[in-house]
Amino acid sequence: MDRVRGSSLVFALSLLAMLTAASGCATDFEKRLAEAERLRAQAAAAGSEWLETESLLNQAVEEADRDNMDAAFQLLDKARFQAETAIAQAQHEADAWAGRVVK
Amino acid sequence: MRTTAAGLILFFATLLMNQVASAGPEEDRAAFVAFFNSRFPDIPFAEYANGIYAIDSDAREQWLDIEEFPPYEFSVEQGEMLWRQDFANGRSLAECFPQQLDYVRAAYPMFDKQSGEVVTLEMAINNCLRSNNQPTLVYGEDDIIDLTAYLAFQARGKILDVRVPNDDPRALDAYETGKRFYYTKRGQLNFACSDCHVTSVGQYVRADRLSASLGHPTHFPVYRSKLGAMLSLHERFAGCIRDVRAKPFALQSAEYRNLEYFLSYMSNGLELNGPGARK
Repeated sequence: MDRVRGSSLVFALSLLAMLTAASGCATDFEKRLAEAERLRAQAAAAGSEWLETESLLNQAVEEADRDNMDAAFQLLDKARFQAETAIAQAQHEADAWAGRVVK
Repeated sequence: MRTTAAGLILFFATLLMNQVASAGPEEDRAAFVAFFNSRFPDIPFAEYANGIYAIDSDAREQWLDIEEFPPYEFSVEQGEMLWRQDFANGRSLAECFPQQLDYVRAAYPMFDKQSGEVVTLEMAINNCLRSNNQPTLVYGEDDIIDLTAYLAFQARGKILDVRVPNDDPRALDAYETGKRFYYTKRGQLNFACSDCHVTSVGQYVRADRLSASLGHPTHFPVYRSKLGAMLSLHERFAGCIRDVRAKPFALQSAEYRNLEYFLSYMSNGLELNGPGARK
């Protein structure tokens, strides 16, 4: 009887841990999605957004909806990298363009 | 001490760079024309109105054959029909444009002092429709392209003469914004318009040779054989932006209108010869 009770407790605790981890994962995804979206918008405001960034973010959301969190995070990282590089590109170009003017 | 000296050098270098970048439109144009003249000394200035066919003699032969039965003819006819249609109030598009029919296309792009922005032919058409309570046309769709094809056809032989009025600093601003856009690298491939159409002009990209920017705006809209459809200048801009893997801007956005303003100014003095036919 005690053994059964003990097993149930272990099972309940494991379930709770899994649910907490899943919810933490989802919260983490939401946070990272918001950050990547903020960076994408910053690149767009600088007129420097890359072609695929928005689509990568949309795909990440779709994967998260399907609970494929590994794929979702990978897509999110790709989108974030693109947005950050596009911002850096715009910052570099703020002066660099002038050096290309035909004179 | 060393830091101060480095700071001073950087300050003067930036000042010099800005001065070079902000030479006036006419100095820019002269330098632009001189560049292509020195790159292709055998090509007369007037030939640049023919785009890539000024440079690529093989493609030119095919183009001349295509021009025997111009694939844009249908678009021109449709455009004429739309131009002549009366609005519900009895007025028509022609009444919005003070110029003679064959000079309408040549008047654009222009800087409009009232709105403080560059107005293109497409935008002027929609402004006219709006002021007559007509539904506006969707940029990139057949009707507006057909209208511009008709007006381009009427304007054949007129000389491109875009002005940057010097009594309104906003006009120079628009020109400079277009120029900056042209020379700015963007997208995953990190390319500026000038990388292909100035620096690498005449080189091959796969099977195609890169055209000169000088003359780009004279012949649009064009019939693209590979699409089997007419294409506006702004759609071509969007195509290039997509090709370098950057997100394209909306057709008739301020970005593209300013770019058209700059590019058109660079091509001043060339004949208008639209609509064109391209591969």
